[in-house]
Amino acid sequence: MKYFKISILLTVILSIVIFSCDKVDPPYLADQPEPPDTAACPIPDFPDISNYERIILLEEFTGHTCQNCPEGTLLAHELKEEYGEKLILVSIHAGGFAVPKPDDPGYEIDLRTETGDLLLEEFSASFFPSAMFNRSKINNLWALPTMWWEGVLDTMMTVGPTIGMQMITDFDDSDRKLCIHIKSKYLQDLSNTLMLSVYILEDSIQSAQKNDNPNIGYPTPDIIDYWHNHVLRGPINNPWGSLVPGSPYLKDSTLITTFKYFLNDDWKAKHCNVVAFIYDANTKVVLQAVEAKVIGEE
Amino acid sequence: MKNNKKKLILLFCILSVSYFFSLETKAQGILSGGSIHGNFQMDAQLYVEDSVINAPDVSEDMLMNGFSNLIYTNGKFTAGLRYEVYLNPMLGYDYRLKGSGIPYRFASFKSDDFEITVGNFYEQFGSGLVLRSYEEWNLGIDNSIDGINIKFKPYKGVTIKGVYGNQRYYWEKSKGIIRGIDGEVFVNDLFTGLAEMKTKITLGGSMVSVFQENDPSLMLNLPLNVAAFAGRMNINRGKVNFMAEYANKINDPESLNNFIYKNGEALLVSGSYSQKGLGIMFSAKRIDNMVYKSDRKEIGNSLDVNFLPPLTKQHVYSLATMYPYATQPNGEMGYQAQVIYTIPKKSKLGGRYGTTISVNYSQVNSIDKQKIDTIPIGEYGTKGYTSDFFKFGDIVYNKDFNIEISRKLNKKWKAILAYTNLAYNIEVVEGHAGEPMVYADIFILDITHKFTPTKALRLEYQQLFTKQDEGDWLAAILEFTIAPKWFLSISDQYNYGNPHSDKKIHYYMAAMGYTKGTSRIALSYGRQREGLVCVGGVCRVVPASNGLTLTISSSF
Repeated sequence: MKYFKISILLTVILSIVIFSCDKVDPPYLADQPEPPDTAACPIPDFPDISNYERIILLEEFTGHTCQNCPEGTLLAHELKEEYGEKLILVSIHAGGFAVPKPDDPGYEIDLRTETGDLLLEEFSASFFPSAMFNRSKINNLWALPTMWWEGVLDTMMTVGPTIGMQMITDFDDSDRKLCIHIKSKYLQDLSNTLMLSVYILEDSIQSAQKNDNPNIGYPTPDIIDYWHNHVLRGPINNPWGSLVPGSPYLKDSTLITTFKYFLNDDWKAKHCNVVAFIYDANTKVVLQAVEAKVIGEE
Repeated sequence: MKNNKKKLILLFCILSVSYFFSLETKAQGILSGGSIHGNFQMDAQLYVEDSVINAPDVSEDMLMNGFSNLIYTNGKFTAGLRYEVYLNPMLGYDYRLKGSGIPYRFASFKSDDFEITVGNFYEQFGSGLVLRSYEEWNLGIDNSIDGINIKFKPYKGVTIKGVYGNQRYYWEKSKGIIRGIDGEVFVNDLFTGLAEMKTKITLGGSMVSVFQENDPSLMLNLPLNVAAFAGRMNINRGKVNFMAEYANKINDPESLNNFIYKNGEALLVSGSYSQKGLGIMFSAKRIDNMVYKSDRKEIGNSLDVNFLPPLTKQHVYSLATMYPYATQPNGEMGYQAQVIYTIPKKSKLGGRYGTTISVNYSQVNSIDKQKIDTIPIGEYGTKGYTSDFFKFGDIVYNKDFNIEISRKLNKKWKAILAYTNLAYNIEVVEGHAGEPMVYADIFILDITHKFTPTKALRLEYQQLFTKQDEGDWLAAILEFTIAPKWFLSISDQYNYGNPHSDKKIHYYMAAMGYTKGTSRIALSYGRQREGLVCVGGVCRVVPASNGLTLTISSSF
């Protein structure tokens, strides 16, 4: 009887624990994008580049009812003016400050995206404005306060690239088909697994914005005709990108990745840009980024 | 506000336990006849900027870590809390500890065959291969579980333990939930026919599961419940003891293994023989992909669910601890052998008081890893690799041969002579990419002279020779003790063999301490060299510093 009771007890306990175990069978990687449609998007010739520069990705968390955000955005633009093409800006409208207000004229617009919400949560952006620099964690923070931006950027600019990236876009206005070709060249051996993310941004979206600082050249408390630029519209592949095949990545080897995408009818193609970046799958740190207009310079 | 919340939780715990066991506790009277005991410690350092050793400028000038445990016991009922304060955390401790509060509080009830704890608790299953929650103040580690812990002895010789909760994560809690069960049977008690048998057998088994929500950012099909199992046995017969424990962890992709899906394994085997004047011990272990954390993205020392015991000698002399080996949970295979022999008293070799000789050797290598098809070893989101269980890897992580001779020369003099030969893979253990293997010889002489039964002077002289890393070192300590209250010491470590002349640095230190009863105060001034502090194979980086350090501790 004694052993019977022990057996029952152990069986119950064993069952509880064994059922608390998930055995995952291959494939382990979540759904990857369809193979590129190179017939619809023929791969162009990329110009030769001998000296790549490291491009920094600045992703700013913002929202139209965030009173301090125009000041942050202004700072981001000042940094962009200083560093030019070595800095790519992305404005992520997410969180409570980005919620549309149907009853408040000018604030009806919804610039939020599912990707933006995911990034806000993943990178614990708890105060606005804040920005990520290459998704690097500094002092245990990904989203950094404005007072750190300049110093962090100055430091990052001293580090050279490990990957070179080029991007060519081809937009067909008749069916709004957008072909995106991204060439990656590894400038040194890289053993970590890499991911490639591609986002669509839109400039020149005019709507209202709260502001509490009269010293930055805008009215308070509302800027009725504020221009929102670099607004994250969504991902081309998915919010977290897709696996870059070929690990370990050998120095001087190259990879061309092609995406076919149809641009949303509500977005103005001439104001849209494509941003692509490669990051370390484990640490999330962005190693290189590149930006191109949807409609190239004429 | 945070403290008020915690006080309410503590009150709730106490009320809950007192409600569930009201009959028992009423009989004893929960508020009468109880006792309070505890302890207290404060470590503070006043930092002095020192560009010679690259000691950083500390803007606060002074940093302090402190804690106090308060335990109330009344018969079968116990409740307690620990207050901690880090204002701000001392250099080398994680800055996320900054602040003060009560991260640890519990209430428990214990009868002859049943014990329940609610709140925070520490627990270990077997050797800890699948579960060990513990606190190590010197490392800044506290992975206590906040939840429920039950221990139950249904029959003589049978013990069952269960845990359920979240781990402490600085001032917060882990994202993952830990569930675990452990059973241990003392076979001789279970079967009446074996009660008198000289061979004593203990068998045990553990199962642990960690739940964590999905993380789409990883782009992986993740297991949300990661389980680990372990089985162990201990056989003792007279002077001989043998123990073995094997653990297996089901697919656990996480940051430190680059999110591979290979199962983890750990085997720990140990045998010993001891009789008067002689002790022989041999142990071996194999670890493969056994990082087990309650947050798959954690990369530091926090949130370890398990513990992988070290298999190298834990040195105590300062230069011998310069290259401490830290367990490599992603894969290592090693063994250790030790013989301790005491040459009898009044023999020709042993002298009047006897001489003790301890010889120890350990070696730890990498494990064998082979590609699966053409996929690179350890690639993200793959099975990772295959491994031959019985094959050593080619890379040596650590070799340590050491011998120590201890002899009391007469009533006034005592001496210890020690030699250590090390081979240390600084690239793997400390992550110094591209640095060569360190080969070091360390000689130690430790002499104590007793002037009176309470007054003693101790001289410790150490010399480390190596052609790698920072080159040769010497160290000396002179310590005067007036037992049981006072000690005074001066010491220096000198890196005279550093290949860079500007780094031939003296690390001088003066220290004093006073002990009264269970209270102790210690004060030291000087330089602390950069290095690793390790306890049980788990290490913390200590930056270089200079300044005045104060430690006050007391227990009551």
